[in-house]
Amino acid sequence: MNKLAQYIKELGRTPIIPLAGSVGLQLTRTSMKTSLTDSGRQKEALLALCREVELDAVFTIMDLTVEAEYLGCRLKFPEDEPPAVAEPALSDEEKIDDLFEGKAVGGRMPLFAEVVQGLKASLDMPVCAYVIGPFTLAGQVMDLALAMKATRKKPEMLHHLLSRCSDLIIHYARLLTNAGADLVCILEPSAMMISASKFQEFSSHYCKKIISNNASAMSVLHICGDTNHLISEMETTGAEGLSLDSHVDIQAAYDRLAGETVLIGNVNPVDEITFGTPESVREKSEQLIRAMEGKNFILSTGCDVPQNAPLENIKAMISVKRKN
Amino acid sequence: MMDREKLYIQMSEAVVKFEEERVAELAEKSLEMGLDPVETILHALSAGMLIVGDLFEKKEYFVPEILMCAEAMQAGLDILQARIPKGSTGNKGRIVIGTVFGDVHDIGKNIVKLMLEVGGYTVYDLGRDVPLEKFVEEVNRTNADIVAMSAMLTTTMMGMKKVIEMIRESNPRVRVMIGGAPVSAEVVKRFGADGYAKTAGTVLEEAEKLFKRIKQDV
Repeated sequence: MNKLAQYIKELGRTPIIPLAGSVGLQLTRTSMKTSLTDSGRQKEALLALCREVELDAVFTIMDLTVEAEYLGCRLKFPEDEPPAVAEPALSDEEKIDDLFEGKAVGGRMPLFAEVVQGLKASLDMPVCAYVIGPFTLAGQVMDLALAMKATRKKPEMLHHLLSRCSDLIIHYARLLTNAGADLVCILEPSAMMISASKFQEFSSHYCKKIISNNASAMSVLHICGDTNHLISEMETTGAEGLSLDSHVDIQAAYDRLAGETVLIGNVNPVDEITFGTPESVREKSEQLIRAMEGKNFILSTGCDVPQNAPLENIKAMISVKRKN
Repeated sequence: MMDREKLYIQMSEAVVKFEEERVAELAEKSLEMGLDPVETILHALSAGMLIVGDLFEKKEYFVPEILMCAEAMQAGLDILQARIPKGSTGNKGRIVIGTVFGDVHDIGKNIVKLMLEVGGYTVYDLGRDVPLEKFVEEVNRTNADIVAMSAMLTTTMMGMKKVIEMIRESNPRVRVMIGGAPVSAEVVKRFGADGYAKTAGTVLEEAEKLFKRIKQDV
């Protein structure tokens, strides 16, 4: 049995783990940027969230730019919104190796390792952290539209970049694991935009390498949006859990799995958690728990919850825990 | 000699198969044959992109394939447009488009823009990370009929609501359509938008609907 399935079995009920770290910022009145540049402040916000809401496990605050920034991508980093890559780092495809020269661990990677370490020391629950997915990182480094076209026009160059990106991600995943992360989740949103065969060639193959090189931690693969066409390929990465967005019928997806892979999801973070009411969130959560009863399933949100979402709705999601 | 219909079909097929050189070659040929470039854009290039949109809807094509088709289409468009007097295309209506403030993700917006352009609209592209009041300014400057906004992030998406409110205030006859990963029918309703471009494949259909409504309103 994989480690994540084992964890569910030991808990004896459906775990509830929303991807909602940034909601903790409301409690400590911390800005998004502060939390992503100051490990102490992020830890403080997440601990406040854990005191307020009875989570089964805690995720660090989602940040999709740590690796890209370290590789030299210029970020747009607003005070109250998640950062994003504004400019790719690679201007000349011949210079991929120069970009990675001497790079292993750096930038804000140690900051997230400190957050993990701090949470681990203060909490008695699994601590979960994120790394970026290889195809998403390649798209940030060389420009997403160019990476998309490279899947057809320049596959060798793209494979070279993906291979270097994967090695970097492995370094970061191990850093987080050594700091105490029980689970490392790969965020591969850009894969939603490519076909299953392109995903197999340019992402899942590399995800598999990242996961097998950090095998002591539990592993999850998260792809946002409509991933119905990718479910089977996602499973071949060997990820112990697949985190699916609200566009996917999670029961139907479960029926398509070949192994004991855990499914994680998928209450809509916008329609339900942000705009819904505690009643509607509770109803949706109970519905999912009932549908997935006795299966390898973790109740979560389909994607990251916006920081301004009502805390009451997160509490409503957690409240279904006592009933099952 | 090849007849007109046959050339249109071959050219649209070349767009669908993203055969860039073949599209360019056929575009040159159409000019040699004395065909009206405006007609060729409509019946060959635009027709091809409509098939591409359809393949995207059916999940046979994904973003890499759309971008490849767009590139092939552009090769034909460059050749044909050079022979067209300015102002004789894009007559179906004026649309202001942009990715809202805070959001630097523009791959989807660029595909939508392209679909609208080959669909016969004049598109004013504000780019990405567009300050909210800029949408209103551009509508006033261009006298546009539709504002199309995109957001990739749940946080930046909230900005679209503000733009819709500003537009209602200043230009009540203008229609607004929104799209992007976090946008759902529920969001469209809550924000009070007029149209929902769920994907690039349905955007032309949605634009046609809005223009019909605008005509009825007049």
